Amino acid sequence: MDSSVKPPRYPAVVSLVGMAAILVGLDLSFRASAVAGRLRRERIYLVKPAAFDASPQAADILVVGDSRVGADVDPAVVERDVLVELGRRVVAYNAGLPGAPPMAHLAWVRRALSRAPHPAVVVLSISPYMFSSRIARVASRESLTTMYRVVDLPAMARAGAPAEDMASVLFANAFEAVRQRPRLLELALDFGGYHEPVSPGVQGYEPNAEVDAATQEARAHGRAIGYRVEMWRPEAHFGSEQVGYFVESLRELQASGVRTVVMNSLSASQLELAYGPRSIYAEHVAFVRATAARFGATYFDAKASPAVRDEDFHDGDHLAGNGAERFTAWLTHEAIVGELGAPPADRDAACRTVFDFEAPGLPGWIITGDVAEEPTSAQGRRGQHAVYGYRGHAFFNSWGALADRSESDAMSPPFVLDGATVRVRVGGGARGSDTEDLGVALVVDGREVATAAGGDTETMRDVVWDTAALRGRTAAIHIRDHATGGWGHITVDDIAVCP
Amino acid sequence: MLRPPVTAVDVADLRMLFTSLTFMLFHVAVLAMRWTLPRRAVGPLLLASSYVFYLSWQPVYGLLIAGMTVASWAAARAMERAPRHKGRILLLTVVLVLGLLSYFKYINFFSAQVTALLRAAGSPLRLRHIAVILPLAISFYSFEVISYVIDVYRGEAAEPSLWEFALYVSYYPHLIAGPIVRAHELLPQLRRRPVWDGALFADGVFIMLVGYLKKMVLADNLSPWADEVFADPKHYSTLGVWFGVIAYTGQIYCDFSGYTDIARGASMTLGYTLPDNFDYPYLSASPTEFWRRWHMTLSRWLRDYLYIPLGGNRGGAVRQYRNLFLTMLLGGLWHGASWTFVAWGALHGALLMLHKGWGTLLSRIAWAGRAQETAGYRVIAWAATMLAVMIGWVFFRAADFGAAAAVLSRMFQAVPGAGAGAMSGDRPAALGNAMIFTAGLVLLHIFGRGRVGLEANRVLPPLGRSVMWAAIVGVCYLFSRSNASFIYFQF
Repeated sequence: MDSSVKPPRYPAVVSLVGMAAILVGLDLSFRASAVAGRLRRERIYLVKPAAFDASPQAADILVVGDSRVGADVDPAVVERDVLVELGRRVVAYNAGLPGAPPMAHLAWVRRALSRAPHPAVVVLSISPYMFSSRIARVASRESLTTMYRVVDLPAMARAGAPAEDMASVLFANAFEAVRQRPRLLELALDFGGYHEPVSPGVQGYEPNAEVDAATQEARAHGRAIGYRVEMWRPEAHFGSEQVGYFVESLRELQASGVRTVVMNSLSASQLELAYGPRSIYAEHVAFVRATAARFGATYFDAKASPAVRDEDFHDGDHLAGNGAERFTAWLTHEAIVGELGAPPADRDAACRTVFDFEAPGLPGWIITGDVAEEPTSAQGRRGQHAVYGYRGHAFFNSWGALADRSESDAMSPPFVLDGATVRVRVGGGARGSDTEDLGVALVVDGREVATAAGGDTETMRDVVWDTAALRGRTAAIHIRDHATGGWGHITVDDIAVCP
Repeated sequence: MLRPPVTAVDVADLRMLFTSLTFMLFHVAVLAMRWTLPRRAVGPLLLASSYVFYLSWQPVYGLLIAGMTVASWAAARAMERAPRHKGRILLLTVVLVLGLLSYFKYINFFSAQVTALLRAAGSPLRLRHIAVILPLAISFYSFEVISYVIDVYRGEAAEPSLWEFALYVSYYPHLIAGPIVRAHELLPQLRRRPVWDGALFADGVFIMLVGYLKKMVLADNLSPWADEVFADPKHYSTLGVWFGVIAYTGQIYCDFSGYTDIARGASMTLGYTLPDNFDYPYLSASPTEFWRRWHMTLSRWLRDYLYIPLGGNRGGAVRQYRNLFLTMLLGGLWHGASWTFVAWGALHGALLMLHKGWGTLLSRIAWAGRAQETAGYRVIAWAATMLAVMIGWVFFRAADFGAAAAVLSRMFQAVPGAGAGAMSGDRPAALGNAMIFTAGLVLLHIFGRGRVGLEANRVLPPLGRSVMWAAIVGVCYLFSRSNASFIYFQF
């Protein structure tokens, strides 16, 4: 041995530092590996916040909540209706995450506040189980290890987080192997495979499919039974660690001058079973309402929404796509628009309706083919499913005597584009939105400048065309139906020019 | 504002378990300060850290430990100053400490027994249940202060500094579940000028890591099958129940000795040694040997402060047997206010008496001495000891005598089942884990008995030691289960 090499003076410290270096090195290798990359893409709690951070524009309107928000709020509808009602272009983002409790809400709030500019409006959707003593803790733990950053630790402390939770956040941020441990062990020890990568949705929105009434009823009943476990006394009582996180979110939003809406999330009537007199629901609502008022936030009871019915749900508390469109429009009109600085006035006040299809006959329209010239004044014609979402009492309907096989063309009288947008309500078949056989089109100088169609559903929805560049020009509406297969018809209503 | 109640979950989250990330960060922070602050600040630092550690569990009981500390310190000083009254002062102090311990730990047990007696006598009187929470660690620190005042009574010097004495009682590595440290083992170390000892530090880190491995990997993986079997033994075949008892046998050893290892290791990294508590007790070939290897600091306490004052070996065989039995009976009661603990203590008392008698018998037979040296005798003796110890653990673990009887009847009445598993023929994952981690327990004994790990830790070069430590951390990362509490915290 070379006698000139002296042994280290502090061999134990060298060993300790060496161990730390080995562990950090292993973790860095794992962090850079393809395995870690794939695992990160599997977890919605990692994917969605990352997509939010990567979005080029900061959100003006952020809707935060659990999977109810994820499925119920369509940011495109928020953006559209704010444009229609206020003439203001905004960016909306749906920050709903499955099971996400107020602990996750605070992480979203802080994430949004760390970007410039701050959101103009934040909607916090609070579900009735969130402050139950029996709230499932898996989602809470997951939000801690995935969404919280080291800079969030002071906020956690203010929220009353125990030291162990803060230590978990520290370790999960320091070591990717800690963050990914459950799945990594499944892969390594149970020889499990990878899961499919998850999608963050379009601006965070993941619409649900429509289901028939029997399926909805059965699913809702199952969920009501599940919620009973979390809501019924004496096993459950009101009060959980989530309270502190809710209060802290409101405090930070108020301190940042962000307008806040606290929304009592909506559910189908079947879930009332879980929210009955034996439950903690009344106490929950009283607390949420009082706390919102304390921090200057607006309380908004979505459960009172007239916009949706049980058949609009995918189960007991998640809407299907069409219900979500209607609910979002109602939420925007009733809650968000007012928070953006305009009173929640009549949404039509600023718009000029050019065709409402309420008058008998279709005066001025040129109709060809198999379609009744009278607007439909009942919910639908013979053989047609009930139609929802039209305004007033009547609407245009291409369902003729031959049902879907009917073909027709309808050209409106001309009108002046004296606003920046044209809004049209449309339903029926989806085919042809970019072809010639089915749809509604805006025609200027004989050329179609914008088209739309239904969504293979009898629920009508608003479509908005941006016509700012065509202001002052004369236009017409062309409704055509040359589709003869299933969903080969179209419904149209309430065509308006808006600022 | 509406203020929701704090739930049980919130309170549980405040705890600084040795296996919690909070404790790891806490200990690292204390270590960093301990080895960088000026030497005069070390004592106050450790005392403050210990109280922070204790108060993080249940702040209100900080008053109890502080009060008991001051009272016993003052009593010892008074004994020195007034030797003529030291007997009365000792009696007063012991009555006070045992009174508090009895109130918090046994009041409802005693009142239930009195109520049962009254009912048997036909009285309608009922003593009401008192809602009292057992202060954490009270059994351990009560025994420590009692040992201190008795030692002073017997002639040892009283500690002049209240702060150093308070640190001896509350020193966080041993506070919650031992080892039960005697004042003369720790106080001289606390008074000494703290000097960095790299070898001690390295041993401490290794022992801590082994403790984590025992607790998080072995104990916590053995517990699910033990829990299943003890919850419903009738559901399992004889072999399945045997594995449940074996799993619990492994669990309680790894849980408690793992805790002790973490405590001793943590203390060594701070520069102070604590006495060992376990010496591979499952290698014992007699009940007497078992109690020399199991919870050694409690055995020693019971010997010095109960068995010997009762008369010990003096006064003939019958008195000795009585003293042994009484000591173990009270040792059983110390573990908890339940007749099953008393039965466990009584069983061990009986085993010790039996072994003593057996030894006396063999000593009178000329060839028996040589026979005891043979491997065959030792194997049979080991098997008999383990069987008795496992039967004892059944009483220790079972909620009541009915549950214990159900387990024991399944163990000794052959009930077939498919394989070792459930009667239904399933092989639950918990049973598979129990088998694998029982094999781990055997390996732990083989390597531990040969001190392979500790020797390697001492001879390896620093970076080799880094690799070994990182490997232990890796095993804990891969195989540890959720953050279960420690069994001995309830005592």
